[in-house]
Parts: sequence; structure tokens; C-alpha cells
Amino acid sequence: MSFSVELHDEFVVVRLPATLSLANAAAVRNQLERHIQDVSAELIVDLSGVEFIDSSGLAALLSVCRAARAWGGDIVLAGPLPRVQALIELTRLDDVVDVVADIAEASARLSARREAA
Amino acid sequence: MFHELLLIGAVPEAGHEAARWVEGGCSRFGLRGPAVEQLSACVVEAVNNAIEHAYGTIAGDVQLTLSAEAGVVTVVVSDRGPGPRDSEVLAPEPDAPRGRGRWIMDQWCDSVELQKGAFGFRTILSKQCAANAASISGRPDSSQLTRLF
Repeated sequence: MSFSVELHDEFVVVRLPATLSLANAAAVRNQLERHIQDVSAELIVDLSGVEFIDSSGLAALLSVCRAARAWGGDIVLAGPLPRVQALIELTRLDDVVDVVADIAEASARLSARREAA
Repeated sequence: MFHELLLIGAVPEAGHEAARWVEGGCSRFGLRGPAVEQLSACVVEAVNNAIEHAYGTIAGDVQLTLSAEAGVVTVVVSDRGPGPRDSEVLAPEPDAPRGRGRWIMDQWCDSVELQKGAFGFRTILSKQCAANAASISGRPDSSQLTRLF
């Protein structure tokens, strides 16, 4: 499992694969949590390329969010497609994890959080 | 009535394949859009439940049938497991680690029926995906069997 990782402003942006499901949710979760532990606990998770997600994928994102907060950071989910956004809203994942339209907004959200801390 | 069958191995990739199969089957008969996507998301959860709860690490098959009539699409997901002990559906807390699958099915399908028996366990999901029968162009009683994995 490999991700595209880049920097936007000073934040790491991880671009997830097109599918986040039972088949790869554990691997994605493990890799992102390792990244949080080893590199940065502030993470922008780019969902714009995710075309398919299920409840296992949502649970993986929630687990990554918890890990980031445990290390003093946070994650922001950026750019979900309408189909993914619908599932996020149905399950109220957006009550506990920030979900924004794009990477620029995610970066602004993390910057504001850092300044408030 | 349009009717298709899918026999799929109980492997983690099966849910996504089942979703593509449902959307492909609906598309061939002129059904697409958010309602079909919601139905396919529910089918994924039913298939995932079969993989995780009916078989675990044991090899097995999940059978799906898809039928469409008068704009209503019905998908039956069958496995050889005993089914859930508790059929009560509670809204999961947003930060709950598990328990979203059945909730998603209940919210996005018009009907969710669970059947237990000597055959195993079935989840029957139905959803209105088109306004009327005119939007379904399938041949009466046509059928097709697909085997994956």
C-alpha cells in the first residue's frame, strides 16, 4: 500500500487511493497511524480521489483521527466526492472529524488550530 | 422481471465487486444515480457482514440476486452463516469504532428484511430506484449468472 504524499504550506497531504473498503482499510489505517507517529500528527487526508468507501473505510478514518489527537495533532478530511460525502454525513463522521471542500481550506483549518493551541 | 445472479467468494474485495455488479446490473436497465449508489452501498455492508460474521477466516461463498420490477430494485445477499444474534438497529455514535453497516442499510433502503433458516442467512434489500416501470427496459424473465473469485 503506497500513498501520494506532498506538502501544502507546512502540512502533509496524503492522497488516498480510489477505494477505501474492507479490503484495504486496515492497511491504510496502519500506514497513516505510522505516519502520524513517525512524521507528523497534523495531517490533511485528501479524499478527492476516493470513489468508493464503506463503513470499514469510515472506521479507519476515525481511528486515524483518534491517533492524531492522541499525539497532540489532528486530521482534516478534504474534498470528498458527493458519494463519499453522503456516507460521511449519514454516519455523522463529520460530527467528530473536520471535513472541508479542498486542501487549501484544510490547511487553513489546521493553521487556525495550531494558532489557537 | 429482470433477474441476475452473482456467486462471489467471501474475500475482503467482494464488497466492492458486489457494488460494481449491482450498479452495472441497474445501469443495463436504465437505472442509475444516487438511489442506485445508495442501494449498492447497502449491498456492500451486507456482503461485508457475510464475510466477517458468517465465515471469518473460513472460505465460503456469498450469493446475490438482483431483481428489478416497477422501478423497485431488490437485492438478496445470502450466506451460510447463522446471522446476527440481535436484529435491533440502533443509531451508532459518530465516534463508535463499529456498527455502522446495518444502520446504513436501514437508512438508505426502503426495506431491509433478515431471514434465518436451514439455508443460512439472507439480507433482502429493496429500494425504489426509478419513478416507474417505464424506465426499466429489461426483457421479461431474463436472467444471467456471474461467478467471481
